[in-house]
Amino acid sequence: MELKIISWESKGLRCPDGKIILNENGFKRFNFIQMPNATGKTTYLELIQYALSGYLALKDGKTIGDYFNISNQSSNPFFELIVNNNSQIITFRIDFKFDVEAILSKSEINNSKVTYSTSYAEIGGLNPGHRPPNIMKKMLTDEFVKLFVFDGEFANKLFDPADSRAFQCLDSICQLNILDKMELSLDKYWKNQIIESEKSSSAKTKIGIALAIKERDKYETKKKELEKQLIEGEKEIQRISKEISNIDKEIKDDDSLSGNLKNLAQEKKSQCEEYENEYNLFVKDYFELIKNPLNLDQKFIAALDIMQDSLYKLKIPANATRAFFDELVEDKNCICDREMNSQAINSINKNKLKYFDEDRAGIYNSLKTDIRNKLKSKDFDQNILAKKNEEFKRLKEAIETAEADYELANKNLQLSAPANLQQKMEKRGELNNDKNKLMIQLEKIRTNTEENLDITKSIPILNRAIKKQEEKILQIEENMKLRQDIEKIKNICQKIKVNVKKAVKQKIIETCNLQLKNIFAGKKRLQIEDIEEYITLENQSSGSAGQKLAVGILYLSVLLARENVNFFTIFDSPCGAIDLYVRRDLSEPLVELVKKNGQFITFVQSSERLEFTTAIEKKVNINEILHLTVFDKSRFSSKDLPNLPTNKIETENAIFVNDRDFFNNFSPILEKRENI
Amino acid sequence: MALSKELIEAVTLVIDEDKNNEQFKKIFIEYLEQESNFQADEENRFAVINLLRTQIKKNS
Repeated sequence: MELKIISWESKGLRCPDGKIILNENGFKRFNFIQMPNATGKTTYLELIQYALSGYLALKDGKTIGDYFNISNQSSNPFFELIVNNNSQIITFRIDFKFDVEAILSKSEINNSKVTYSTSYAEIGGLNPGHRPPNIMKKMLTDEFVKLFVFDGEFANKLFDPADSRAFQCLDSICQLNILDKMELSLDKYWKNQIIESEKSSSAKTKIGIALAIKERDKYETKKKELEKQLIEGEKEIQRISKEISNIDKEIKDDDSLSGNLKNLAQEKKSQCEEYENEYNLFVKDYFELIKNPLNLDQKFIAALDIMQDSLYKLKIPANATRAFFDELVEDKNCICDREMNSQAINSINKNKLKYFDEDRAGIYNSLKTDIRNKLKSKDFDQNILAKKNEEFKRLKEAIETAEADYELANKNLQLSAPANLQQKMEKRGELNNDKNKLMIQLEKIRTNTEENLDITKSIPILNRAIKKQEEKILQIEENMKLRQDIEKIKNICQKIKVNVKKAVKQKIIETCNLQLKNIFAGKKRLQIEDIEEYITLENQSSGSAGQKLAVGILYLSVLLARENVNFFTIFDSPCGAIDLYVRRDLSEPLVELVKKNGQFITFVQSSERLEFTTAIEKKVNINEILHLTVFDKSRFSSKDLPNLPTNKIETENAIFVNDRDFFNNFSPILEKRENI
Repeated sequence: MALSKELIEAVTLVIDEDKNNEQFKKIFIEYLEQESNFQADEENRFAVINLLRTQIKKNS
């Protein structure tokens, strides 16, 4: 990823009007921009940060108003930054609209506003909004931009235990935020999958699966028990029936019984069987009967009668439908023999709408006929249900009587029978009782509809419950597997982060310390002890402003010198607080750290040239350096300035000089006084 | 932004230590490259998670 500044331009703000171009004869490795105090270095730095991040649009009117320049007012104040991102040219423009009245009166309510616009090849000319290409957008956060557009305050934060800026820098450069994104997505993925599965199951844990298995096994056991009861019951019924049949045969074949009594018992038994058959047929017929609502309630018949009456009252003509009138208007005369004139035709056409069309009339007529046919039918008996109920009652009584008769005949037969036969008959009676009891018991299982799973004897209901638990188990197993997978991938991400941090941190500490050893030699030895949340120094709780600045510059330069990034870096007055010896020593590693195709931009005052820009000049080819001096033209008289070269650019309020000699000889008296 | 040397080394080490297959490693590194070029969104990440899970299943 490469990011370089091509130019920036401003008008009507608290910095010089005009354009600073950094690629006039190709990009330079070192870009020294010399600006006296109060010329607008900090404004430039902030506006570059804001142009990249888009964050000024989120600031309040008062903050925006701070960029207003009373002595440099313009009708269209703006700042425009042009960058090169992997060979794509992108323009970020900020247009200001100042609430001048509020600014001048220092009002708390300030409606100053900014409008962003962006331009690059894909979107054409300037488009409203801060809209960098997607590839760049995610990188241009306020925090990340401050990493390479660096000010002194940022250096302090690197050492502040309450701030974790040092580590954030490390995270950003090591791309560890990539793995954070993956971890967040893993959590979201898990939630999404669970929401999907929640529809069928709510349990997700091992405990959930154990409970579901326990429930399933409980219902399974109960079901098996019931199935066993049915199978064994059927077998038992078959066995008892066979035994009864054998006893019947033995009794029948026994000659010791009285012939009359035996015949009577047989007759009564046959009668019982006949009634039983009749009963079965009756039940079938009865169920057919009650399916017809007409047979169930007299009120239904009465309602149909009323409906039929109402349909008759409608007097729906069988043929005189709307179609009849359509044909009528075609005739010469009406059916009343009057001439069919236009007035009559109009009236008929209007009034025919009151009549049914053919289809609807047909339906109503057919309905009327059906009801009449049904209710007036010879077969229709309004009292059929009452009659059937009566018949049922009689049949039931007849069955009971027949059974009692058979029992009595059997008893008489039994009394007249010899002892061994009596025993057989008693045995047969007992077996019949057992068989009936068993049949009732099995019928109860087969017809059970109890929904309560604790007491149900219904196999279909238990089957449903088992299926539900099995679905739950399957879902829980899937969820558990999903959780394991998620944890596994998360664990990998975390391990990678730990390993990368450890490796990168070690390398950076080593590189920084090697440089620091040369910069702070002898008794002034300064070494980084660790970089956790913040930078800690060896054998000292904190550092001086100069030490912090030097270590901060070095730390960020080392980070930004890594092989996978090539971002421009801007340092604002990097040597203001650093003494001359350290400056010279700091400039050496900087030359090494700035890549051959890098872009190091620094704002300096004339007092910072000594042992900093001059030291770099000695180590770098002169073609690799841009020497630009920018100053407020009204602040200095020409006698205080070195000779201005002809290629200078002069704007409303500033002069821009791209010249090495001018740069190195620029020491205006006013600035010297300020520094003193 | 290209992936740093340390990141690639750490990914290889951790994935190998965790006894995942080569395909898993390839998918993971490709995803990181995509992410480092700011070209991955949530949908891409979900798709990568699905692919990684398939490899975990194959590996088990």
